[in-house]
Amino acid sequence: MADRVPKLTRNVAIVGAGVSAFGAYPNASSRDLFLEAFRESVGSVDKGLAPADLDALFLGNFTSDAFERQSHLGPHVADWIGLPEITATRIENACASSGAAFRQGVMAIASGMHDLVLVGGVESMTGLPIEQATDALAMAADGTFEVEQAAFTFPGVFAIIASAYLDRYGAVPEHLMRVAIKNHENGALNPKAQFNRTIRSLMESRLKRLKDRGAPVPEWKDELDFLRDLQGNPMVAWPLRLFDCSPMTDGASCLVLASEDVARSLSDAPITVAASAHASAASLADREELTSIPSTKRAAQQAYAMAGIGPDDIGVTEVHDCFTIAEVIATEDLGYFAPGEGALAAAEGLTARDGVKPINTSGGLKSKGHPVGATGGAQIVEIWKQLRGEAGERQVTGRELRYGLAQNLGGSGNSCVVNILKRGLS
Amino acid sequence: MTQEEYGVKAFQRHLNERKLVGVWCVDCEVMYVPPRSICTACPDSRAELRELSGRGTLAGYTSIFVAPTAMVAQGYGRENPYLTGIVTLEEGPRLPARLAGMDATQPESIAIGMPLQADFVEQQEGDETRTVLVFRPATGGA
Repeated sequence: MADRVPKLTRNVAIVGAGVSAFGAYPNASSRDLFLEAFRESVGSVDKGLAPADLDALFLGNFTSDAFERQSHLGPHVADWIGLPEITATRIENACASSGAAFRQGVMAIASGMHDLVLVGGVESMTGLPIEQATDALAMAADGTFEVEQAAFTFPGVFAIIASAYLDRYGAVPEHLMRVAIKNHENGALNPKAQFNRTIRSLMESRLKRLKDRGAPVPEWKDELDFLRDLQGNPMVAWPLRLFDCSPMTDGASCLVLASEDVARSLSDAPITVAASAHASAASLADREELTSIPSTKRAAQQAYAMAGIGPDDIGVTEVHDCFTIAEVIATEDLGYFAPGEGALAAAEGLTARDGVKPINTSGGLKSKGHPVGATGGAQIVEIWKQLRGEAGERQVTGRELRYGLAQNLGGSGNSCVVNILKRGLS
Repeated sequence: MTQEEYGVKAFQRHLNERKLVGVWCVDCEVMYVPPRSICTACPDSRAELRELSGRGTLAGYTSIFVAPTAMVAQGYGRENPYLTGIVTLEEGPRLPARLAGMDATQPESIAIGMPLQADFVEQQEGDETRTVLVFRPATGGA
């Protein structure tokens, strides 16, 4: 594989960004969800945007086929948002679908093919019963050797990774629980989040319900105590429990990309795409070690080289915390912490909003929700808002934010897309 | 090399004969399990099918409480979790496989690095029987 540093032949900027509300919306289809994100995205363009000027749509979606019995989502969605004639393509890389769709849009502008494109993603997941939804998600794994032979589920794959990590580095499940507590604290400040509440608040509601019902009330001292109790936090795939797992979510994300010239005419505070890198990896058993994701490492190295910066230059980061262990390992693979130190770093608050390396200020997949095909785009929406100083109550303060990074994983890490954004035009 | 002997479907056919097979690249001296049709490290892929010892050690594992529909049909779930994981074979490669002969309700009592031995279990799936590869704790000598 060539080691040349990829580059964009012309600059690409983000001039608009939006997400739908994330949650369970059984009455909304993928098309309705995307329309909501599209409207917010177009509405966020500082100097206004005429939708008729848009050239193309690159839409991330994992499997509307399984969830909604609907394929060919690109043109159907384009039609629904009032642009029936534009170039419209669905991009599929499992949970990395919209990170990959973003990169397709970036390349379409960098190449000179287009000047103004929509990218983003959508997934409508809660219409299926939980077992069938679990089966649908497992289609991203190796169907023969992981699913049919070994009966892996997605929580199971990351649980195996967690077992190896805890064993190798002497970390404990409480370190992982701290990741969930931190992400819910951020998500409580995100009005679009599916779980717009702290774990302490969820615990207090549970206690109140039990008390009102006259049921025995557990003595949970704090949220960590609640998470340690199997009654509050049941096992999904040992050592991962319910609160280590991101939820099933309906939601959409949408961004407007523009060439530099067009961006100047549309935006007061454009954000430049400093790097966009996408790497693949073999399935879990065929990797050198279980405690690191090689596609993240490779995509990150390529992205840093492309942007001409290193991990220390990144001020705010969204990582793919489909499970708490995935966040810990991502912070190591991105070069923020040494191998084996990510769990303790999270437990000690280094990744909190006011920590040295703020991670998942949006609430992450855990609290904000994980509509798989929309997730990568939603991460970039959060970085865009943070770099523009528009993240509201969850804005990272007390430091100058110049660069932000989004890491979007597909499957167990068979795909990874790393995008780096930079404030201003270069 | 033909798809009859190698590849995704061939692995299951060999399991049905209670054989665990891999592909040995003669030039690179690397074993692949399940058997691939090409060596990913060299262009020539002069490969031989080899039966493996079935001995290995545990690299990582989990006990699954929220089961997929295929395992629910086998009686597994929250009240009856099952073990699965990744095994490092003594010939070098790792592979995903179910684990048996250990208590799935006490996963913390299982040790990574423990020696394991392959076994073949007949699993009834509707009208069909399929052979599933499982690994059990190795007994006897090291």
